[in-house]
Amino acid sequence: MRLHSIRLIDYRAISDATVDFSSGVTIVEGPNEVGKSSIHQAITQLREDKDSSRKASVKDTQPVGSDVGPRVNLHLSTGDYELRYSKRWIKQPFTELSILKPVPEQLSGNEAHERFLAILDETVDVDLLDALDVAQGRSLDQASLAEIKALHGALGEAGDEPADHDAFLDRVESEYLRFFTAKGKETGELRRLTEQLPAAEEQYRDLVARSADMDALVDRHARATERLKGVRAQLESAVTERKDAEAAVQAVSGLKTELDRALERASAAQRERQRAEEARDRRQALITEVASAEKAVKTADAALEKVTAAQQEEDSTLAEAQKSLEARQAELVGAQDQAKSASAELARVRARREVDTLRKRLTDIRQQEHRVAEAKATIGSIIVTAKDVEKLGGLFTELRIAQNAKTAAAAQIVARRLGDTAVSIDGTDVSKGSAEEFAVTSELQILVDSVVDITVRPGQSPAELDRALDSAQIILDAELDRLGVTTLEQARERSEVRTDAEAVLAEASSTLRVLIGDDDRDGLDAALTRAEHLAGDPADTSGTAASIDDLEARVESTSAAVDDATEQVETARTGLERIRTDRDEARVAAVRAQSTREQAATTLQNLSTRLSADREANSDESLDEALTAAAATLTQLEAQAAAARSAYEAADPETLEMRLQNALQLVDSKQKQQEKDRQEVDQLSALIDDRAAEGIYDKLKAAEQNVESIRSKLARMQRQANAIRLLRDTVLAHKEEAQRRYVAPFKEAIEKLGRVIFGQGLSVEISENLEIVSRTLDGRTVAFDALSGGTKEQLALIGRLAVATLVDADAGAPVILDDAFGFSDEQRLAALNVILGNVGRTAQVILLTCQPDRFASIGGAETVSLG
Amino acid sequence: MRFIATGDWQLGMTAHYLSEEARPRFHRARLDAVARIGALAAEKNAEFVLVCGDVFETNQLDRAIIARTFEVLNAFTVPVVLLPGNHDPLDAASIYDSQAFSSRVPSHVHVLRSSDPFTVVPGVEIIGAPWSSKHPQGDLVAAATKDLAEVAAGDIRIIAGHGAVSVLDPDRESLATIDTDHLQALLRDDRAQFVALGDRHATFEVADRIWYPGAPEVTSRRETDPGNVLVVDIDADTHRAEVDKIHVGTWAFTVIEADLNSTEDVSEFEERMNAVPDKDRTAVWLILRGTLPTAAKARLDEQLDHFSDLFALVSLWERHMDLAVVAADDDFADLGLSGYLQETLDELSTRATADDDSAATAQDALGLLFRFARSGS
Repeated sequence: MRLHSIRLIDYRAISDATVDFSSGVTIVEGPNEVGKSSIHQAITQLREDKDSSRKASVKDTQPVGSDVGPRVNLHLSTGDYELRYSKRWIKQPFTELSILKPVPEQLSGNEAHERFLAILDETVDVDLLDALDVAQGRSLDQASLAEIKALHGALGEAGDEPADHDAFLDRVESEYLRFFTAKGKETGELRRLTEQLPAAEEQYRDLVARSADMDALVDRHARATERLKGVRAQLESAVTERKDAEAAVQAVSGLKTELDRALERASAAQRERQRAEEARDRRQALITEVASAEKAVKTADAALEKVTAAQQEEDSTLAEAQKSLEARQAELVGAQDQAKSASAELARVRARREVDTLRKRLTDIRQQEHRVAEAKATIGSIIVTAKDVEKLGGLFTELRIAQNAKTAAAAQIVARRLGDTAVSIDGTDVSKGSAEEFAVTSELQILVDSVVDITVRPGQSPAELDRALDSAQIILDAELDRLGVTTLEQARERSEVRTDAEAVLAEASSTLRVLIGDDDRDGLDAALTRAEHLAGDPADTSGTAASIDDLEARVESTSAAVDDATEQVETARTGLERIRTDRDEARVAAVRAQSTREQAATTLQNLSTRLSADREANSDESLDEALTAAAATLTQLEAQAAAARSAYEAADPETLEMRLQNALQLVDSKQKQQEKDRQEVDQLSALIDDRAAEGIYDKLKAAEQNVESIRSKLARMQRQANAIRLLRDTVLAHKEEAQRRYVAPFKEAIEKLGRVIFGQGLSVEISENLEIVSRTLDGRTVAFDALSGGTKEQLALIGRLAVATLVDADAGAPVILDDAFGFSDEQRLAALNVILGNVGRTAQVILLTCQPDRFASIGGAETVSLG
Repeated sequence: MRFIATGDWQLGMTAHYLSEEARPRFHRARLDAVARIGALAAEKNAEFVLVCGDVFETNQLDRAIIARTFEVLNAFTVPVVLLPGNHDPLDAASIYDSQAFSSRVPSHVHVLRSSDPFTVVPGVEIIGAPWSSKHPQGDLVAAATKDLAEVAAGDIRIIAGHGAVSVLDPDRESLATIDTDHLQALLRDDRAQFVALGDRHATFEVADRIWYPGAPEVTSRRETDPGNVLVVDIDADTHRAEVDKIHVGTWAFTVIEADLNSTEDVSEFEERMNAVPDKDRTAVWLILRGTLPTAAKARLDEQLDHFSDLFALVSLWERHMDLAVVAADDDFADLGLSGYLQETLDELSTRATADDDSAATAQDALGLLFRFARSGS
């Protein structure tokens, strides 16, 4: 398509303007507000809006303040057509289409509109038209090229128009999405089946196992039943065995009874033989006893005789000894009497001497006792002791000291008689020539005879001195009073008397102690009395002739005589006792021998009697015969018992017993086993009944069907899924590859133009939608959207220019750029000028600008001024 | 004397591989087959019905099946004799000993609980060899019949057993294998007049008068001739027997094999499938082989989806499948693919011919590409 010229009448600010377009680059310049953009708008409006349109955008094209209809005339060629197309809107609207070539034709109204569109549709790609038409402010956007058939045609190999496979791809995609998610995961029925299968298989396996269990139970039941049957038979045979054993044991027990009985009989015979033997032994013993009893009697007789003789002899010896003792006793009494009398005499003499001694001693004692009593009386009458005197002397001294103190404090009168006139002071005469001193302690009378009588009164003496004096006086008086004396001298006299008495007392007491010695004072009086009694009548002096020494000698000799006599008596008595003992023993022996003899005689008598009696009952011979007979019987019965025992043991009772016990146990254990097996059978039956009612088979088959169904569906699904996946993968891979090949010329065109601006290091990535995805410059790749505004605009416009160069001039459309490249600097603008110039050689480019200088260097460009 | 021999009712059995919609119908179909046997008995004037084991699928069934079974059996006008088999043995879990069974069993329904002779109608006795566990320790039929005396003229004795006979049993070591020679000896000696056996679900004549009636309704795709019962006539005097096989089953399990190498092959296959009757009672296992262009494969897939809605089951028997997809230029030429779609096609086409598992995925992806591009053009 090529635009030849456009005329705008009453269109916006333009009242009437015509612009002619060159076949290359046409620069339409004009200041702002002139309406250069109106050209762009007018072309679009002419195509899109009918003359009857009342749209706001149409209304806006009416010149402000004038009631006229905006009108556009466009002269263009497209395909084989050359057309003039005119429209007026709002006021007196009309549409006219003049077809100049190939066949002239004139149309108007709606028909003209429709025909124009039809021609466009037939000859040019409207999308391309739009894509290459860049309105003001749209220059940064990339054209939407994906749908442009003209471009596709240009890009397709060898000019082939590629098939429209979208419907196919949609089907592939929708089929694919039946099985997979956009991300390739299984979904829908496929996924559901895949997920269901394990559970279904599990359920199936469970039921298979359950069915097998059931079969196993039935088998077990059969085996258990078989076992039960077997054990029943075994039990029966065990019972039979037990019965047999019991019968055998019963038979043996008969033998045992016989054995016991034979043993019992043998035992009785044994006892009988024993009894006969004992009877015979007892007889023999009795005979022996009788013989020995006879012998004992004889021995006892002999002994008795001998003992009796000895006794008589002892009796006579005793009588003699008795007499001898009596004689000795009489001698002793005589000696004792003499000794006694001698002792009495000696005692009497001794007593008399003691009486004398005691009497003298007691006289002395009494004398001294008298002195003691006197001295004590004296001491008791005088209480003044030497110590008291000493103390009293002290008190006097104290008094004198007090008095002297008072006197010293009192006025002192010194009197010296001068003349002869007597002077008496206080009654004291004062000697001539001597001076007398007086202390005035009390009223003092100085009398000078006939001359004067002077009374001197003491002044007031110091009170403490008076009190000391009074105190000493009082104490002294009290002591004197206590001692019962008036003066110190008197006290001293009394004290001396007392002291003397005390001396006498001491001396007498000492003497007394010597006199009494260790004896008791009162004992002495008693001793005297006793001695006086012993001494007897002092007048009797019959024995006085003998001295004590004589008497003592006599006592001694008589005592010796007594001792001798006593000894002889003792000797006689001892002998007597000895003889008496002998005599008693002889007597006892005689009695004992007598008794022994009597006992032996009795025993003999008894035994003889018993023997006689026994013999009368059983003779000695009969006893011997009985014993022989019993022994024979025993031998016979013992033989019988031995035979019974052999018979019993031959029956092997122990083995039989073991057999019986085993049979009993066997029955027991078989009964238990039977019970156990029966229980197992019952249990299994119950289990089986329980399960049988379940209908395992039906469930199992249902589960199997379920599994089969899922598996077969799943297999089908998977097959379908695999098929569609393969198809999709393959088709997409080829599509991508085709895309890549397809966009290659476009990419090359862009890069060729772009290198003018960006240099040799430029490459671009083109999407399947024919959009520039990114720009790579010297190895550095930047996404389109991240590029600067200027670069974006340049690349976007280069993209359009590339399309223009690719699409065939006739099939293509003019590139209309309204106020483009506002973002470009001078350098790039210069490069763009080069590009535009080049594009202009093969494609129509219309630049609408208010700054024509910016495009001043485009080679071959025509500049048209608007307005 | 006429009776109906059947077996392996497998009541309560489910088929997990069927579609959810078909499963309850299949479950119900066994009871319906039993009901038809009852009707057949009445129609043919049979004197009783003998079921040779596996009346129930398992002892572990929900006991509700018993009530439903009795509901059907109550309509029978003749005695029904049931033999416990290996699926429903008289073990501790036996369904026959359950309260639900013993308390409601109709008077004309009898369970052979031992090998004592059971006189089902005057002059006819049945010797059963019921299973008492899943693992018998010997030939139960031989044990049950070893002491039998010759049958008097005018009387009839029928042996009812369950298990594999020695001429068929692949597991020769199995203790429970039924000795065929012994059975033939029994018949030969006139100690029995007929042997009816259960366990094999396809009708099969082991030897003269020794029959597996088979299951009255199919249970497995491996069965060659299921869905029958036997109407047996025995002459009481001559002891001759005649056996008439009657089909009562309404379900079919089918394996369809097809070589698919072109769009035409696919169309032919469609026709074959369309021709299958009673589709909702038919389970189909497909064994498809060949190499299909993407477009044809897409068509095939659409058809399979379609048939899956019609049939009780349409299953690809993966183990035997060998179907490859190639991106034939013809398919895609019309689509006018260009640019990267053409490149995608080229790459997937290459991948689809790889020798590993990724080829299948690539083929599927090609199918998708085809579908999307086609509907978009």
